[in-house]
Amino acid sequence: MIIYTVLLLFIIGALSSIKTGVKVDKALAFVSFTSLFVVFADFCESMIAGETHTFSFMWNTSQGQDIKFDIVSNPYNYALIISCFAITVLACLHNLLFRYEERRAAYNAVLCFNLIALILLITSNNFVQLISALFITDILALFLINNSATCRLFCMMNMLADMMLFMVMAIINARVDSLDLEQVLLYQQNGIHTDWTALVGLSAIFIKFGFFVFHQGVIELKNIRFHRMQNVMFLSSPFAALILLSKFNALWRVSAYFTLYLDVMCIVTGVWAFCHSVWVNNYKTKTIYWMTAFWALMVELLRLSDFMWLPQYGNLILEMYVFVTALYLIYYYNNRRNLTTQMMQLRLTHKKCLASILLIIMLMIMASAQTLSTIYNAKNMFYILGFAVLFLLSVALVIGQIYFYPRRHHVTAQHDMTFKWAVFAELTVLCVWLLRTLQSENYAVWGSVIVFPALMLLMPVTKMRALYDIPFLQENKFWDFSYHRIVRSLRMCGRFAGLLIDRLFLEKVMLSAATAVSVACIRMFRRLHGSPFFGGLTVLCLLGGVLWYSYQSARGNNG
Amino acid sequence: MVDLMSILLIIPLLGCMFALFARKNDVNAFYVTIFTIVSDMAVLLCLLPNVVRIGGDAVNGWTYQWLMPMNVELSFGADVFSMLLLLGVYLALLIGLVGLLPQQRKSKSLLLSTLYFAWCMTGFLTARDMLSFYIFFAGMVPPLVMSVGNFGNVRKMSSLYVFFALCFVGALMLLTATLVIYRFNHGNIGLLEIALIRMPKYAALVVWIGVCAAFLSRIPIWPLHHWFSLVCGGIKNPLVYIIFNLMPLTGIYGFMRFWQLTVPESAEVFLPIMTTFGVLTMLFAAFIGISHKDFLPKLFSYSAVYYLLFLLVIVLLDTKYAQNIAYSLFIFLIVNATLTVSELWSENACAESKCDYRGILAYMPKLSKVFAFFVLVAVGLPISSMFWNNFVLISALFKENFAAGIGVMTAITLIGMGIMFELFMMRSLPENIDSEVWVEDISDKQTAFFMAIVVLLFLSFFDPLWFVF
Amino acid sequence: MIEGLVYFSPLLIAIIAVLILMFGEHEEDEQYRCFRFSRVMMLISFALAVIFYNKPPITGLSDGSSFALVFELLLYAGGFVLLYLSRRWFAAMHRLAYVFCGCLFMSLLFGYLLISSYNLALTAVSIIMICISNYILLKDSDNQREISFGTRLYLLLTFVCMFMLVGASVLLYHRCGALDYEVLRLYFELNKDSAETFVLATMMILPFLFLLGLAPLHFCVAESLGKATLPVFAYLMLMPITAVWGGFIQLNVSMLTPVLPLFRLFYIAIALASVGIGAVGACSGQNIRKIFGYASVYHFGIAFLTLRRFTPNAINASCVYLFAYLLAMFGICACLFGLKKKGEYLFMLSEFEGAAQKRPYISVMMVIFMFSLLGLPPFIGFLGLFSALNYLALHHHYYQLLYLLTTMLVLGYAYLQIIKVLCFEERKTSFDRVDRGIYTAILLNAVLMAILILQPHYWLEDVKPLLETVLQ
Repeated sequence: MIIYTVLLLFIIGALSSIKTGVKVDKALAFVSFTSLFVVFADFCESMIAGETHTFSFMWNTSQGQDIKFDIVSNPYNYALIISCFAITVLACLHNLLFRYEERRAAYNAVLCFNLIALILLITSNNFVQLISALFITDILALFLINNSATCRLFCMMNMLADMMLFMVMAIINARVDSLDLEQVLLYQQNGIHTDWTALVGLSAIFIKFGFFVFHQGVIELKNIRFHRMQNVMFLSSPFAALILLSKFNALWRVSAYFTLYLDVMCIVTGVWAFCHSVWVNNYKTKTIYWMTAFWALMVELLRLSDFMWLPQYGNLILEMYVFVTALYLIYYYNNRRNLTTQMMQLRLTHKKCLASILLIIMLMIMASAQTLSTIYNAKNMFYILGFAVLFLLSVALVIGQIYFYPRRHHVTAQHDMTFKWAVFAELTVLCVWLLRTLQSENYAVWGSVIVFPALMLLMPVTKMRALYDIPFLQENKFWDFSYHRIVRSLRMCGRFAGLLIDRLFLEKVMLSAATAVSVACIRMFRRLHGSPFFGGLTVLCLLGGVLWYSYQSARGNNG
Repeated sequence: MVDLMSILLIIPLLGCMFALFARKNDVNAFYVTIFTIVSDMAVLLCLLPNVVRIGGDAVNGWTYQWLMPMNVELSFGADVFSMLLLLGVYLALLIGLVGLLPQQRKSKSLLLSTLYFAWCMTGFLTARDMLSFYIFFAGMVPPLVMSVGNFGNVRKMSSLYVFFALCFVGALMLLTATLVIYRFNHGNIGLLEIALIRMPKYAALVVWIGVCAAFLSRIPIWPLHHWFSLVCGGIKNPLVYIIFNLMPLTGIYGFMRFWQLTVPESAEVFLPIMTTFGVLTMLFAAFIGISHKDFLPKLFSYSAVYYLLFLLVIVLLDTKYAQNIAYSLFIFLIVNATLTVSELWSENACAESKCDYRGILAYMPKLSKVFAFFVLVAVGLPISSMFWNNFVLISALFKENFAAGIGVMTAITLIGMGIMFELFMMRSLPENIDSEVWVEDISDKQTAFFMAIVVLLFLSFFDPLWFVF
Repeated sequence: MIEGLVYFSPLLIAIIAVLILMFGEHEEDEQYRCFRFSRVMMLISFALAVIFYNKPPITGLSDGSSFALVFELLLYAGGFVLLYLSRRWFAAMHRLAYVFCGCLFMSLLFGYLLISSYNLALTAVSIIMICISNYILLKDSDNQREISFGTRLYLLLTFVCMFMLVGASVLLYHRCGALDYEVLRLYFELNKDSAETFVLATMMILPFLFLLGLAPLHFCVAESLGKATLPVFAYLMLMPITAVWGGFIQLNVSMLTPVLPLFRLFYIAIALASVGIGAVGACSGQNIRKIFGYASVYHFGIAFLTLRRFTPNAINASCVYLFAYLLAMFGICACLFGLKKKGEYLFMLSEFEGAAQKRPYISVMMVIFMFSLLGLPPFIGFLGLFSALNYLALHHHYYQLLYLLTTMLVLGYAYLQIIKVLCFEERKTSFDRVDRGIYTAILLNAVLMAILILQPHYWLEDVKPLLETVLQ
């Protein structure tokens, strides 16, 4: 049952967070991974057994609406959870195999807590739990990123998306008067501003994915370590966005523009991301663009399957994760050089390693081709083919550039890095496992085996190298400028409003008027008292007048 | 119950007396103040279970036969709303006290003002009749003026006077309302019975205007927010800043107590105006907040936005949301106080080590953690009960007035992003940490104190009243 | 005869004291003896006054009501406080206090008579004598014996008052054949609409208004306060005021009741003008005594506005307000006696800069007294203000209420200025050591205020029946 998994994960996470010395930390990381693997195995067993159970805990009552904390175990949720669980296990394993972190156990703990948050998100039945889990995912993303200051735009964009979703859910709750997620259907019937709500919600989800126009935040992830970037892209906001997209599908459909908006965003993002992956020099940025393109494909596939989560989607995510790990290995064996051009200059001293990586990439492409072929149909044909072509082209070009670029200057790699056989073995086994159902008549798979190496060899790697020297393509000035302009204009609005209303109106007009009145009163008073004789005479005359008036008005009425 | 309530009121006065006679230029008064606040909190925690058990209704506590022949009896009581706010106030003051620098801890006048203010707040939040409500509402003016004037760096007489006038006008307006009520009731009256008084239309309008103006004068709504910001801009003492920041709470609480009771039907036409003003001010404050480059003005804008949110919620929604407001306000007070203290600490650290404000938190890891946690709570992430209570409140606000809801959400988002951005700025260094700069981080005791607050907030996410047994 | 003499004995003691102090021959170094003598004489006089509290001091001309007793007690209290505080001033300034003490007794004597008077002639004499004693003190406090314009103006107005009171008394005696309040009341009852009656009543009222310093007759008093020495300032703020209020209430209630409607608008105008001018005047000065002088005009304006109907509730409300004012003003005077630099008592606001840093207790108490004067709870002034404003609200005078509250904001500025200088400014010079007696006086005042605020029925309820005897 999922609730037990959650509890066990929590215990593993809590124990892993204990601060220890370096040696104990290694042991603790190993123990936490092992425990996690055991829990994963247990989870798989439960999934296979198809256990169903609902754990419900009364969190709080509020205005007749009970806020419950639900963990629903059903096949659908199992299917959703398994992919993020598998990735989490892999992330912990890689954390153990690579020297990623100074405190490995703590990183494992963050991954465990993140998984809990995702499980809560997947199993939620009410708005409050859903939005809480979503927000917790984002908070944990800050821990995954670790140095959040270096990618503050990503954090800010995420927060903006969270607030937008918060608002959308508040509106739905206000309209349907229920916190139950299933009641979203009611909103379809009697909701107000439906287009607006759907578009705001969808935009928030696109921000989380880092789709075109909102991509600048995700691109900032290049500033953090590769493995953290990879885990954020797979286990944090984009994955949470995918879950939200599927959970709230009834909400998005209230708008007639939903399909149009989604299609446009996905296609543009896909094309945009592949183009950038070709011409951007920064290797990490390329990886981010590939991942973004992948999420765009996932969104489209999900829509085309009527927001039903298919097991193949989980496989696809896992395959993409393996692919990015392979990319990391390339990065790793190139002395963690950020620029592709720098990688191209290096002499390949780790030929065995690089050949193994190529093999893994090949296997992964085969596995992906196999998975895509199983879900291929007339509806998604265009998207799958488009994605496959663009993906193969761009990956082949970049890998080709790194592997086969003619080197003019022979620069030796600085460190002689050992062959990480455990990693390669693990990845190979995983790819083989993913290809377990491969059939001999699957032409897509065999085609990809031929096409990808061919493309890699045939690609004009030298000519395309020129793209890296075009400053306009590398600097991304337009987007930097645009984002900066938006923030600046908001700030200017504040400054202008402050100047106009506060300084000019309140201080210069209202306060000055009040001061002028008081100054006039005091001046009059001083003038009156400056010469006591004339002042006294004046007021005595006034006094006489008042006396006379008082007498005249009361005379005759003095009963 | 009766005894505890009277003890609750007497403890701050006793504290005042002890602090008054404490040795000069010593920290005795400081410890007396801490002890007083903690003792009052302990009494409050003893009271809370009874109050919670009874539920939403006010529990009558202690009555003081002040002027029986004139039908004046001061009565004090409690409900969950007022008790939670009081606890929030005490905690905020405690945080402010912990945040004082060693030199500031020796200031007797500040500590006396604090205790006196705590006493007034206690009386105000537990008052159950019109006269005691007024007495404690107006009674806050002296400590506010004295502490802000003394430690608020308000050199310009006009600014100081505007602040004084704001406090004083509120007191006078409530006095007018009290007098009119007094005139029709021929004596003092319980707050809940005000609605039962038969008043002519004009008198009801006078009462309504008096009450509204009194409470609005304490809330940074346009055009008053400008003067609030002018005054708070100069305050560099954490405790004074916190006391100043608690001022709008009195207005909010006043609205909570009066709004449903005094609003005559004829005055309901003003409701859209008030809502519009509230929302516009929220947006305005949020925009002004993000235009500033320092954290403190942003924090002021943040508190202005949230206070106005609570005001709108009280004005637009019915009393069934009182509990949610209380939970949210409770967390808000603590978060605001902690952020104030943290910010002023970091500013002080900057001044002492002569390093740049940007990236200061990178040199202070402990403070950085505390700061980050509270910023995340402040922006409304689910680390405390403020998150889902705000969700319930904003949802209800959307139900009542969609446009207002949009305005409120925009303001909250803007200011939330503003302070989050500032956090990043304070944590990020353009290059590696300069090893030559040494900045003193907060002490272990202070860290432990804030960790306790963190636990308090985090557990409140699961049960806002987890500390009530 | 003997019985009359016995009842007159409190005043007789005062007369003896006046004669000895004013006309006796004194040595330069007899400073302390003068105060000791004054204290003893005042104590005897007070004891006798208490013993014969229900007996008229002058049979046929006055009455010994409990109303009079309340004011007499206040008068004596003021006298004691002044003697206690002034001793320090005269010792510090090395000046002889015989004239001051003599005038104090003179004021006490005629104040006592004024409060208990039931005869216009006695009232007129008392008023004139109080004016004269005020003049002597003002003249005495002028620097280097150079009589200022304000003092001369005061003398001129004293003559005008004398002329009006004597004129009114002669004319009324000519009409009625007697000057008893009862007789005159009957006369006013019968001629209540005639212009002559109105003029006669005006001639009696104006001297009182002048002595109370109500606007627009405040010119002399408020301006002179700024130049007066500290003991004279304290005297003018406390002593004559108490007596004149008592006498004025007595006069209106016992004699002028029939013509009061004719003065309705006039009284309102006077009160509102006092409130306005008092508030603005307090803001416009830099001399602390002048500020308090104008502030007192403001406070008397409120008391007068409340009093103007002379109903039991009105008298009670205004008296409560007055008591609160007197108590706070006692405290402020004591604080002013405690703040001096290099032996000099301070005049100008700027001289008080940073007093709180050196004299924190005195400064804080002064701030508390000012907040009390502003009517902020939980200080005693709140009850005074509440009772005054409640009376206005009770009679639906909402516009007047609004006006009072608005002007209170203006007055607040003046007080805030003082508070700012006292507490928020940096200290530039040092302050002299404070006599413990000052602390004692302030502490006693504070304790009294605390008792009265915790048990307000002592002065709100228990005094009420005493005050109502004036109407019987």
